[in-house]
Amino acid sequence: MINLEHALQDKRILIVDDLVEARSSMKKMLTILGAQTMDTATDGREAMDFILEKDYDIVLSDYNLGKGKDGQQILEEARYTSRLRASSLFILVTGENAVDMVMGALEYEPDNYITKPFTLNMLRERLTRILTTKQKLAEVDAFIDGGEIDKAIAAAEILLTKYPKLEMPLIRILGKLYVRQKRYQQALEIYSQLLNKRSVSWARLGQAICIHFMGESENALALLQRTLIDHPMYVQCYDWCAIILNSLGRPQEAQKQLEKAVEISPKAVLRQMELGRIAYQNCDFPVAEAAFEQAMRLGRFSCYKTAHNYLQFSDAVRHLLKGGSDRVQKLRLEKVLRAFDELRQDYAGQESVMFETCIVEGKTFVTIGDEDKALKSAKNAETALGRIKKPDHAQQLKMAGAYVDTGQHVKAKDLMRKLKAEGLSDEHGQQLQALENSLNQMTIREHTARLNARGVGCYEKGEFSQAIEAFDEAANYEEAGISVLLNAIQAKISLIENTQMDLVQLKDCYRYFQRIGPMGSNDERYERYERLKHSFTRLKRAAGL
Amino acid sequence: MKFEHMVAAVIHDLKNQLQSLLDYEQEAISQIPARYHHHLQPILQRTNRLKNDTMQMVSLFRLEQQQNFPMDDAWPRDTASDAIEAIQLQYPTIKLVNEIADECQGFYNENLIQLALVTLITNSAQAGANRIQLTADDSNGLHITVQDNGHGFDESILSGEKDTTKTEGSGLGLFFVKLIAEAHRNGEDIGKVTIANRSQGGASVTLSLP
Repeated sequence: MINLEHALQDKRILIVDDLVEARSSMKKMLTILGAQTMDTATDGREAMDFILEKDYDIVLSDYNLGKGKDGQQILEEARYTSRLRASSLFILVTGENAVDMVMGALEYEPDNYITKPFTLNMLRERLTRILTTKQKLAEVDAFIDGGEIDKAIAAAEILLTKYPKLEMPLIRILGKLYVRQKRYQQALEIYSQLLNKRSVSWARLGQAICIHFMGESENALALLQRTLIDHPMYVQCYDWCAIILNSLGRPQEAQKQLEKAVEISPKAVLRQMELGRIAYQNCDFPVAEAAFEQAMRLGRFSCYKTAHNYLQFSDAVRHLLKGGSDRVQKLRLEKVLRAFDELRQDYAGQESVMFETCIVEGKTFVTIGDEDKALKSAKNAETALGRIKKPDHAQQLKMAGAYVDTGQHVKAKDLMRKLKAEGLSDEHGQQLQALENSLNQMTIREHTARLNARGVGCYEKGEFSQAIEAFDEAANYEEAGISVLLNAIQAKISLIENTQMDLVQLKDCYRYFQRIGPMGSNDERYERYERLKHSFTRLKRAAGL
Repeated sequence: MKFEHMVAAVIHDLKNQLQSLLDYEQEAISQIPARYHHHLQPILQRTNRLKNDTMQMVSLFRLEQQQNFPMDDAWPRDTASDAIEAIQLQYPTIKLVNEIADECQGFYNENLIQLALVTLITNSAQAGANRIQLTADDSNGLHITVQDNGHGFDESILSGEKDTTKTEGSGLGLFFVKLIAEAHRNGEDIGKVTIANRSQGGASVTLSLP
């Protein structure tokens, strides 16, 4: 065993705890045990500042840090930003009943944990064990830090035969390294070897992951479900259930699994982002809204803060904005507008982010029917797009969409023609087709509106034949609305009443009524409809039909 | 919320409160001249006993609920030393000897086994022992043995007729240790407790874990 005093004296240590007594007591104990270089942080933000600035050999963090990030998140960020070497130690300090959850992490698990409450002697024993093991694994860690994974594997394999008592920590490392190198069969073998002797959940999760990658996803799912019966708090199992279900084309079920994971551990930013993404894809916008909002809030002061999160949030909320000007809707709109403001502030100069912001903003204004603002956003998007050196097809398609949405048909058509000439991928081709369809529909709607207006003009001047000509042309499009059809009917009835019976016109009226179908008495056009129907019946009788 | 869960939550909080009370008392003692220590010692001892009792209650509740106890690599020498630390205060005159080797290793829930050892040591102390010795062997499964020089077990307990002969205390002692042993299982193998009297006098209890 190592000499703890000796081992600690040249180590740089970070202590994280939100309670002042706990911090000073830990620092005092470590000083007695031989530590000389220590920093203390009160919350996740401060801890991350320290970690980004200095290289620590040991981080001792409490799991529960009050309001902000928890210890697990600090660990995730530190590893995600590669600020913690494999050879350094991250030790979580936690209540006994949270050990399972804390050590359940397979992706970013702490090297070890210390359960509270502990005495000086307990801390001494625990640290001695942890550092002794770490020292024996030093060679493996050095290879991992150097990116030489195959060498790390070889070293770990040798250690495993040499020190049977290090089986658990070694298999934990080795399993992950095998999976990283896609050597699933070997990973599966060592996990199974361990499970024959010991019932450990992380090995069962490891097995499930290997089985999934080896193509037996259904079996992997079943294994995970069984593990969850024993350990319902084992969050990573839900994550993997979601990954597997998604790969099997069952995104709704995947979302349910992630929702459970988020319920147990709501502070993990990456998981919230994944839930938002899947929920959006499933068109479950309320869940997507909540998940992205959490991800934004939790990620605000972290390495996970991304513009993408804000944009996805706004886009999800946009789908919920429809209808009503009640308080909830107002708050929602405010939240989205605030997200746009934050994007403009924090990502100024990143043209593609600015462009996306204008696009989503424009769509939001279209949704709430504010045409002027939508047009302004589209213009801003156009400016931002102009600043992007080589805009890709996806961006240009979004621009074309904004043109269509804001009625700038000429610009939309020009851009779409250009894109078509450049040749698009299948996915983009489909998007273009959808845009063309909606553009055509809009053109027709505008055309029929013009014809309708002309008809109304003629009708008011008593030029019934000309009016009928215009209305009939408009009614020829199947997109023609009920008002156009009623106008046509009225013009035809007026013509007959003012000149003579005309069976052809009367038949047209019949056809148009058929197209309109039955009309509910709540409809604002009901009275007019009833009146015309009455005149039509009268004329029909007069014609002897 | 069920009543029993509320009770469990209260006891859990009680345990934490008692722990911090103990910390304050120890801090206070360290600040006070040694000649006054005997005034505070009884308070410290009783707080410690209450803490150990509530720990027992919390674990008992979780054992009865069949909740999951995470198991991990653990070292009996450390566990025994923690148990001795937790109980020595109560019995300052008893000699507690930890003879477990440094490298002896097991796979168990450290908190539970520590509690089991505290319970066994308490039993020995109440049986009039003044020397208690802890040994362990990990060559085939893990066996931790607590031996004392007290009056040994009554025949009725050795034969399994009774669980306790104590008139004071919770009387849960051995029963609790058995529950803890049985919470450690690996496939077919289940932990167990073996009791015996030593030929030279005194009791011997062995906790065997798969």
